Amino acid sequence: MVSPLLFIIGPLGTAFLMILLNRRLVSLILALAVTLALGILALSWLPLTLQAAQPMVVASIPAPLGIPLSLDALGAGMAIIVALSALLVILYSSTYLRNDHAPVTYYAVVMLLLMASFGLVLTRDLFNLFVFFEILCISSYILVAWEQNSSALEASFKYMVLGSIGSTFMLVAIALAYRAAGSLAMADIAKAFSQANRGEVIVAAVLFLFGMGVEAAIFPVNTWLPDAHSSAPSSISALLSGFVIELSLVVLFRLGGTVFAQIHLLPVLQSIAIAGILVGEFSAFAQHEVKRTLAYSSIAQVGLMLFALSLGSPEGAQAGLLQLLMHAAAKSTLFLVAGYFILRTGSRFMEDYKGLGRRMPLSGLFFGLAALSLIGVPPFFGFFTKWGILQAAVNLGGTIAWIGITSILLGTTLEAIYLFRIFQILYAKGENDQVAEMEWPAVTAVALFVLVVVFGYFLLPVLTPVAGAAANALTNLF
Amino acid sequence: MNTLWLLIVPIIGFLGSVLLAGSAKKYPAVMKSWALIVSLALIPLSVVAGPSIGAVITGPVVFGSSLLLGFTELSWYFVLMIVGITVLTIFFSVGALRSLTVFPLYYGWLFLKVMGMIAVVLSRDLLSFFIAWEMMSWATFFLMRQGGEKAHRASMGYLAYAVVAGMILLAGTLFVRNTLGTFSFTELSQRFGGADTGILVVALILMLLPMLIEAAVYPFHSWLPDSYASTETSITAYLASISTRMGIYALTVFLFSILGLQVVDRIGVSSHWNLRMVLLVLAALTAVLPTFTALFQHDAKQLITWHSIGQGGYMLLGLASASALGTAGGLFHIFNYLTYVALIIFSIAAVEYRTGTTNLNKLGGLITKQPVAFLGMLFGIIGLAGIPPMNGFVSKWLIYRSLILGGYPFIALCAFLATIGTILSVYKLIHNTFLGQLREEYEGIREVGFWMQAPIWILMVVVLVTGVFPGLILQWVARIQASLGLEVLAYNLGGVSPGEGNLNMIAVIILFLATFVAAWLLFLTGSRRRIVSQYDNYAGGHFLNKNVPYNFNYNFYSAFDHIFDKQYQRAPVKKIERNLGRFISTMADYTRRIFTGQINTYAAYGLLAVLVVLIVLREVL
Repeated sequence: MVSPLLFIIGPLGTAFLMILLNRRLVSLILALAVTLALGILALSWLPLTLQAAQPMVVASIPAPLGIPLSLDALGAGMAIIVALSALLVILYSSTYLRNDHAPVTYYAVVMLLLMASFGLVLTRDLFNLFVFFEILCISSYILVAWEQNSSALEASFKYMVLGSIGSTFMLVAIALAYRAAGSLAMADIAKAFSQANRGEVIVAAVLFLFGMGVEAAIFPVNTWLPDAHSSAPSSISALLSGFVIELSLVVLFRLGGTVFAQIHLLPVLQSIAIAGILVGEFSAFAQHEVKRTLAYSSIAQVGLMLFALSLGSPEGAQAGLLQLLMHAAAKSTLFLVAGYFILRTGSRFMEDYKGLGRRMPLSGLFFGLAALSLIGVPPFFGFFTKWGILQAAVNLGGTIAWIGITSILLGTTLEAIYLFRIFQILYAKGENDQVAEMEWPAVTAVALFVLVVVFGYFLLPVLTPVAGAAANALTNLF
Repeated sequence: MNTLWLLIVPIIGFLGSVLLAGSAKKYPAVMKSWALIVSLALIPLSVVAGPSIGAVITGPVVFGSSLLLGFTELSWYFVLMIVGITVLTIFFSVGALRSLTVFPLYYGWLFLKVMGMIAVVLSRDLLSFFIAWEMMSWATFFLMRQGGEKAHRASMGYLAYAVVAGMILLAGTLFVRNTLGTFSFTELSQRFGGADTGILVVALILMLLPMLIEAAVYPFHSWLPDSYASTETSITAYLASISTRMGIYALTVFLFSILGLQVVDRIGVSSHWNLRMVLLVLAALTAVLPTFTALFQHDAKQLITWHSIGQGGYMLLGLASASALGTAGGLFHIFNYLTYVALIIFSIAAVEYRTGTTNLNKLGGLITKQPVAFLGMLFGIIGLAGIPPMNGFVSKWLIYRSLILGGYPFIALCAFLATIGTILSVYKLIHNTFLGQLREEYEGIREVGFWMQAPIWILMVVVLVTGVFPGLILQWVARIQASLGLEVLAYNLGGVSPGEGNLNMIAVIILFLATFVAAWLLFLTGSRRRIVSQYDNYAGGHFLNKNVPYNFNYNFYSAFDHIFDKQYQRAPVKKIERNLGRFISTMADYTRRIFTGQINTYAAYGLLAVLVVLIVLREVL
């Protein structure tokens, strides 16, 4: 079997190679090849990881001095999502960013983003976690600022400041952990914390929550998200909303479930989640720009995922992870299609999209299908994932769970209205007469995302056990 | 197996329409033929399905529960009605849709809705019911969007109500499953019997509300007139006839099949003031208030869609009175209503096709130019008003009688009041469209073609025949009553047997025909008639000319503006709706201001978050 170290070395090496060669077409082909290869790699490791986690030894240096990495079901699952989403988004970027000012750098930074993402799911050591986290953040800052206009720069700056605050919180938490355990390996810290003073652990946990939570876009540290996701180029918005924030959420959760396992933070997390859902949906309702609407919707969806994961039951976690997959596919579709709406009309405001759906029939169709899945209309994938979460919440019972259920239902109603408001405009009698459809690479990319969204139900027999194993992995380090 | 084909064929119809949509603009005949073939294929499938009543098919396993599908007597009744009206609407649309450029997916959405409705009536468990209900609601949304800007706006109103209803239904389904442990209808009917009253009440509220919303019962009715009237007229006919009745279907199944009459009667303060009384009052309000609102409408489609709400109230009145006469009346009324409202709206569509308008202030005198549409509307409004010998009379008679015998005099009074309103408003409809003076611009129009006339003739025959021989449909209704565990009506071919009420429509029609013959003979003995031009007339001291309309089509019932308080016309429900919408928009606006755009606030949020959580966990302070 090919070593999972390739997940980290591959994108890193490719990034450097791209910069060295400095050719646009070569970079594009390299990017596509690498993401495809890594996707296949992740798929090939998946069956093995379903049985047991696969620890890796790096450079033949054993623990405790070495770099502890481990590939388990959660890691393999996330790696598949990350690699394949990135593949499709890069395919889309090939035409979307045709006239870009620095295409090679773009692909290289995306490679770094990928490396960091893979590293986050593989790591079992707080130091690595921090390093990969920082690389993830910094690549995001660069990509958000890509278009170099005032709103993008401002959004990136705000993101950077908040990200730095988050990193600072994380550093303090790591310092506290090191003080308790004398080592930075997660296994050692978990053992040390299980015997340590409860106060210490709580402070470290909360700092970690809101430190990594910045990247995971939990309320109230998600304030950077609307600006960042709406000012970034749409391919980047798709990547960020599609897997970057969810990845951070999942890693955060794994830490909570293992290192900080003895603290009962679940009610706090559920409340934060509910706040996120309500704030996200209501704010989205008030928007006039399509990408801002989608960004606020991502905040709400992350809240939904956090709610599912923080229910504390295996079925809740399973449903949450399936929702993650669905959201990655549906939100990516919406952002990618919106990207072309902006490109073709030159406007970010919904009111200017009258009749676009008639002129760009495929885009309109994809938008409608992804919207229906996001809302949770049967028979699309989103219905099954949302139902799973609600079912898990009902089984849990209790006041917070029912408040959560009510918020989710209210949120869904608002979602239906604001997404279909846009849909109605797309099919209104419009002035956009000379507008062309997306080019075929973009169409292919979006179509593949839409396939997941539409036919997800048929994938459930395969996906459910994987999600179950991944949910299990949330509370086990090895 | 037949059951599944009933779902598969509409899906094939939908997919075919999607594939043909591209060519629909240039070759509409291909799309129309496809639609006709698929709809005609549904007829034998639905007829053949009858014998499989009672069989339950186990579908795919979703979330650990099997989806159960099966036929009951009530399902079959509905399936036949659905398929019937679909075929007639498609026939009508072949003539009415001049081109498919504007609505290439017309038939696609129609078939998707058909599938949704059939799936709803075939569901034998709550999960498949919910899935089917959602698919049906969304298909309805996509169908009613067709009709231009106005339809787009109005359909959003429907969507808001439909999604809210769906979410409440979802909560109810989850609640029922959580407390009673199953989705299956048969198992639920056993477990509800032993359930605690508190659970019953919560389950009822959560399950009934969405059905009342879909059935457009007051006060959840205000989405209906705008959304139905703004859409393309053949779709209006389709929606008005069957779509809202799905709510009534759901109510019937839930109240009688799942809960059962004994459980329903247990819920309440006393034997008189119980759940059924609540439903009766709501139904009475639904019957009366929208009917009088219809009087004020100047658009033919708005007028008739307000009646959709009112007639739904009648059906609920019949069902909620729970006697043999009442439930038979309610169930029969569903069928009758479908026939005559489709008939009336098809006539309106025929007039619209030739004149280009449905504005009652601009029509008139078309009886000589479109006699078939006139006859259709005449039969329809006689049915709607509940006048013998049409079918509407029988079902309304059954409902009145059950209310009076059941001891609900005030509710019966409301029912009568509603009929007065109905008669008045449909008279306005037929007078302004067909009677009175013919306008100059309509001198050249002629009757509509075969495709649009055929459904009108078919429905006229059905309305008359089921009126004269109500037993034909009542035999079915009786079987449904038996299957739901209700008292069965003692019917015969001509109506109701002696003892229950002794209604004999055959005697009525014979009397009717005898009177008609007598009048006609009298007419023949009179002096020769002379047909003159409408302008060769004399009124109030003046001779008439083309510039002066001599009848009072314009603003018909303007006198009611003085009789009815202005408050009535201001539609309190619509105001509440608007305020709610505004409240949500304001909340949304305030919420988004959390995101101030200033980095210092954002940083502060982060620090505050850490502090607050630590305080909550009692680590600080």
